[in-house]
Amino acid sequence: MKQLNPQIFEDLIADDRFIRWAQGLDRSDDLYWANWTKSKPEFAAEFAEAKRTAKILKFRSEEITDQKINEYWLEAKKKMNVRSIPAPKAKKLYLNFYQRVAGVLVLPLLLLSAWLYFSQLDLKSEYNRISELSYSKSVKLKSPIGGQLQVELPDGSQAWLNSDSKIAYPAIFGDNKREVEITGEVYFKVKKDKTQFVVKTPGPSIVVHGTEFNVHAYANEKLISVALVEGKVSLEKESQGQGINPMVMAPGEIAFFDKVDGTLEKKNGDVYLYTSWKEGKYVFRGTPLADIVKVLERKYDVEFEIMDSKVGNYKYEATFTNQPITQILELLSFSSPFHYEYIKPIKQEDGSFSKAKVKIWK
Amino acid sequence: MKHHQNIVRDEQALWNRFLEGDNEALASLFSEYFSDLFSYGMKLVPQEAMVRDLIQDLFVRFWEKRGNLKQVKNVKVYMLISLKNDLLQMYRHNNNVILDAEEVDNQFEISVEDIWIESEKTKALSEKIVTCLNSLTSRQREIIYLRFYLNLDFSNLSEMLGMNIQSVRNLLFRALEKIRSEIASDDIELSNVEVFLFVLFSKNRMNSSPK
Repeated sequence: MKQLNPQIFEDLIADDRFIRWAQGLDRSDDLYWANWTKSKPEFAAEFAEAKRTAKILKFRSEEITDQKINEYWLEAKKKMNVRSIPAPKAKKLYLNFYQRVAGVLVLPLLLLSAWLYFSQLDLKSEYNRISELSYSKSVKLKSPIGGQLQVELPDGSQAWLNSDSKIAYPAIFGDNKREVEITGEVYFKVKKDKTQFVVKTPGPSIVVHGTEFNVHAYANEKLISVALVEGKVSLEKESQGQGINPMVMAPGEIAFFDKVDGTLEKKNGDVYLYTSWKEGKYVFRGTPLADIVKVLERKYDVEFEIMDSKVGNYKYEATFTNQPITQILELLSFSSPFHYEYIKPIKQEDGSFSKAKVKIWK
Repeated sequence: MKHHQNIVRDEQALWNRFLEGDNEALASLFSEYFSDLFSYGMKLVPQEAMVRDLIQDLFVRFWEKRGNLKQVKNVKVYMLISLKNDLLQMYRHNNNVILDAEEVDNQFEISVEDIWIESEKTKALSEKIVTCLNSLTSRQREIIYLRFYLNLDFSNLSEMLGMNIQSVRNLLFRALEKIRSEIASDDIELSNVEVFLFVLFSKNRMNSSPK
């Protein structure tokens, strides 16, 4: 066996992120580990050995379907004493409460608890704990379906999360990088700083210094888009054989990454179409109905079913603010006619409500 | 199994909502953790029906006793420990013997079915891995399983196994050393893509490293 540096090997094995990646469970970290090996070529042997070890010890997962698990839960639930469920009312209240409170209350609360936490640490003045914290503790936030969330990042940069989006970032940014990870749609206003600010998405990473831009990267959509409002950003996608080939964007440009064929392209366009959601406006210009309903699904927590693909290709010019969903449907069907049926949420056996559903046909 | 640890984990929030009496929050925790609990339980006592019943009973107990439950540091670890205790108690009861966890020597026995076989892992290699794992102590197998399958980090492992972090490290790395020495590196042929990436990242190193 080769002489290895045990510390490096052990640190890698202790790193959850490394294990997930090495076992092939998280391909989104390819770039991160590529950079790791590039910056530490002297530890290539340790890296390879740790990766090999993780692969040898990859276990097969139990194949239990969600349906089976749900059956087991219902069996268990029968034995529980679940009294008359105030779910309908409570659930509605909870959502409204969440929506309203999210932007207003959660953030100050978070800042307060962070402040309390840090001041306590300060009292203990344990330098070690703080430095450990800066690398290990991460903050993870999620905006509810139909709601938005505004977040101030540790460096003073701001992020607006659109409906059903997630962001994760360290409680303290490291000395030489500011890295956040997102899915869904997020508008960033990044504070100028000499350290790089990197946004990781399920597609390309976005590297910036100080600027404003919108990232649209929902898991259930084929395209990831980045719209640059001001400043400069570069997109870094790892392509096999060519290393990292950054694409530099100028203000007014919109870049599209196709998750299926892996292509990255940019064009000039109306950036406002991509950022207007932040002001509560949804603007569509020549947008197919199939794309519009994806936005509506997230904003109104409604499920759409387009029965005829021709209708899905109808293109619309429209701007919506906070109209009720039924009014939006009426307006859309008025300009390019289609039929639709709005199925109200139904109270289910366990007291909760099903999702509202809209069926669309010619 | 769900390995989406990158995604926001609101398990703590779910746990708190459950403590406040939200049965749906408990349902979410059940569907999130059932696979992991089941898989872990089967490694301790390989009896499907018993493991499944005990997981269900565990959640019934959570619900009935929620008034006495507190916030926990890590929901997953708390559930795994609770299940382990229940299983060992049941095992002792059924076998009418008093055993410590360590004394059940065939625990965490690994079979070929447990090992993930990809193109570069041949059947012969899987068998070799299994033999090697089963030559370890059950404690060593358990920690390998917890680290590489359930992805528990070192502080969770220390809580789960009732050892300090240094002992956790020693236990794990001693076991890994044994595995690494028994399974020679040429047994695993890296797939084409990986060789490619690896060469890309550290060309010089690759060429000059001793075989």
